[in-house]
Amino acid sequence: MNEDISKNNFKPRGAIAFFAFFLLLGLIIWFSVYYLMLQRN
Amino acid sequence: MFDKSEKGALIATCLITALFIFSILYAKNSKRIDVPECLPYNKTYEEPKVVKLDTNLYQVYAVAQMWQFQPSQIIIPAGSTVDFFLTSKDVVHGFDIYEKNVNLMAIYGGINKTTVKFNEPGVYKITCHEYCGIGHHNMQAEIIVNYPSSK
Amino acid sequence: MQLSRSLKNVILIELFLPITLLILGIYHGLMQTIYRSGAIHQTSEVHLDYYQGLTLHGVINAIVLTSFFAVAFGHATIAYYLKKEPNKTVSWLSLWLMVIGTLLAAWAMLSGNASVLYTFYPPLKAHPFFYLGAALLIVGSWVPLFNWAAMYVKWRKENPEKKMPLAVLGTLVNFTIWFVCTLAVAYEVLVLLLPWSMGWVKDVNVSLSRTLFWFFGHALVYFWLLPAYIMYYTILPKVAGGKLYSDLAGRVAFFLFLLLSVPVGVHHQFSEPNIERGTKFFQSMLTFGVAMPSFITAFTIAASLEYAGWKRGSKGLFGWMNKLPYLDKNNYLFAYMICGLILFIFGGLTGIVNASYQLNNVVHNTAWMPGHFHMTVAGPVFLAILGMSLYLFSTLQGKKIYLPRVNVILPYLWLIGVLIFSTGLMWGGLIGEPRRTNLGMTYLNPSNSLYHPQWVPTTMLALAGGIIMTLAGLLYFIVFFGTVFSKKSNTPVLEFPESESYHEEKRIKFFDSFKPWLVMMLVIILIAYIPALIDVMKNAGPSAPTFLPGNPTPGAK
Repeated sequence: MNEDISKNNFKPRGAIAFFAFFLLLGLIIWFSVYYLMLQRN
Repeated sequence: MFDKSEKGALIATCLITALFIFSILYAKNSKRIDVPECLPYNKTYEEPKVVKLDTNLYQVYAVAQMWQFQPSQIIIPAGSTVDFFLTSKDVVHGFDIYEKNVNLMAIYGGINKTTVKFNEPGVYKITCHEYCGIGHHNMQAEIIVNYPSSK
Repeated sequence: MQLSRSLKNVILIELFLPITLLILGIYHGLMQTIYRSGAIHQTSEVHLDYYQGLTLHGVINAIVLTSFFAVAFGHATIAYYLKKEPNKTVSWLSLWLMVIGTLLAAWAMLSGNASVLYTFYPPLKAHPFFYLGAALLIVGSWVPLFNWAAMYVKWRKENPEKKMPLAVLGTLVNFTIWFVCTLAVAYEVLVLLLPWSMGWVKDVNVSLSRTLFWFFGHALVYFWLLPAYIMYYTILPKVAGGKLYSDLAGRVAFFLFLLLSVPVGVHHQFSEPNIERGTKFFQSMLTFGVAMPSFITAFTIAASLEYAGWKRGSKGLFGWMNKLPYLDKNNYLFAYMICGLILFIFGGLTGIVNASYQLNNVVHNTAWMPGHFHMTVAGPVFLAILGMSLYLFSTLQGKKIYLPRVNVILPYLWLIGVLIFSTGLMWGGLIGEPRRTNLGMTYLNPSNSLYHPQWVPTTMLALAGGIIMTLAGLLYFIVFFGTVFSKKSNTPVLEFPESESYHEEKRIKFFDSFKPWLVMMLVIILIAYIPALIDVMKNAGPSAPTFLPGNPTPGAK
């Protein structure tokens, strides 16, 4: 019973924030190389 | 069935992927930046030479071998467009002009092709970046791009 | 669970042998950073030529260590979760094939007859024992799959409505991927290369060989990764003090790997002739597909870790990151796994760059590549192998960890080393530094006409990183061998920390059976690879004679 209540309070907001940062990092890395490629064309 | 935030993560991933794919297509179709072109094999590409088709249009028939590129020095005027054709007389070699996105593999029995425009004068090195035996670290050629007014 | 002496010995031998060989593997890793930085200008130090050492480094670290571990961890996982031991004859047959194969290949490499690198691209020729040894190692690693699959089928008959344990699912998926992909390289090695290397066949189709190799070569990296993923899903949440946020996510991820690990190999061939642009583009798109299960995993593991931190009373968006057992010496598996995951953030993202079609022109065969893969195979995979090998030795032999405080810190030392190392490599790669090259002889030799000073800072960084990595490796060997040779002090047992599920997830048959996924896997492979093979057969020209690394004359023996 207690377990259920405590579980219900948990929302993975931190994981969502981490994942957003992770995707942002991906965009930065990818578009840096992409930009380099466009520059060298 | 699936947790809401898991679904969200998957959707976000798909959106980012779509952005990448769109950018790839844009570079391919609008900027004409592509992977090397595939040609069926033909013996005429086995002979190294530089052919001038026009003032600013050249063809380089490059042949990689242990441990040099032929031709090893190519002289062209700035503003030239060059078609590179590449094959190997022996083992696998690389052919990398990193300042110009030229990155090819030279393979026995294969003809690779790419097209580059050299706007800026300078000396561009062609580096072998695939292990090809004991002389591999000594395998480099160069393209000398001259100012248009020089001979 | 108590293991029979036979199975215990199989597992421990399969862990001990590669970790011992790893001493040589890491030694030559360090040597490469020394050669490449121009600190020495030699072709060979202590009788090991650069390219010979590079071959040993790749084969030992990326083929021998990883395959032996996958089999040993597979035996342990299957035994623990199905509560039955794999067949004794099968496990010893597998071990002997793998050991004999390794010894043959090792001889060929150490005697200087196989300086062809772990990709062994023809027409560069190695001694027949190299090819034979590789084939035996691979076939030996197939053998347990059939036994485990039969054990699973029996378990399923006895438990028709139970979800198969996630670790079992992961193991069977992993070895199915392995079996399918190695069929191509086994064909390449046994039919195309071995007879040619013995002089029975006079030439070899280079393009076909490469295409078969890369059919194997990309799935290979998932064979390396999936045991680590099994640990991330089934062990990490528990040792972190939390729960697995979604067991279903793990199942979906593993089945997606089953579908998409193999039909993407052509993305290693973007720069090659003989394969059409359309084929290359299609496989590039499929590669974005195989990135999905890793993204799902990243989120699920983050949520699981956050739950662990939250349970310990963390507050705020990132507070959970502070409440995890990073330096708990009695919980060292957490340290090994978290360091691997941190590296994998960068390793995985740089991998997406490599898959992105024409972005490959910027990075192919430059130092960027080893920069990327030292944050994957030398990141999560390597650390999972080291941590779990130590864990299995310690628990199966009932021995306490030697120098436990050193043990829990060394993964962080490795992490720092790799970050510095890979930064140097990737920076260098973006400014044209080639991989697989003894730079110290020419490009990093100030008295040579090919001297390229721009690569001095990049190779120096790689050297610094390499030294730190070697130090971490040395500390690991002290801990590992110290533990192995210490006295027994606990009861030997096979047990794994087992993650519990956060959600109550009912069994979904579609994500708990293999048949539909195996069919889909086969269909996608055919759709992706038939065009590639047709391209090669259509475009490729003559086949090539043999060449030796030191001899440009064709037909050298």
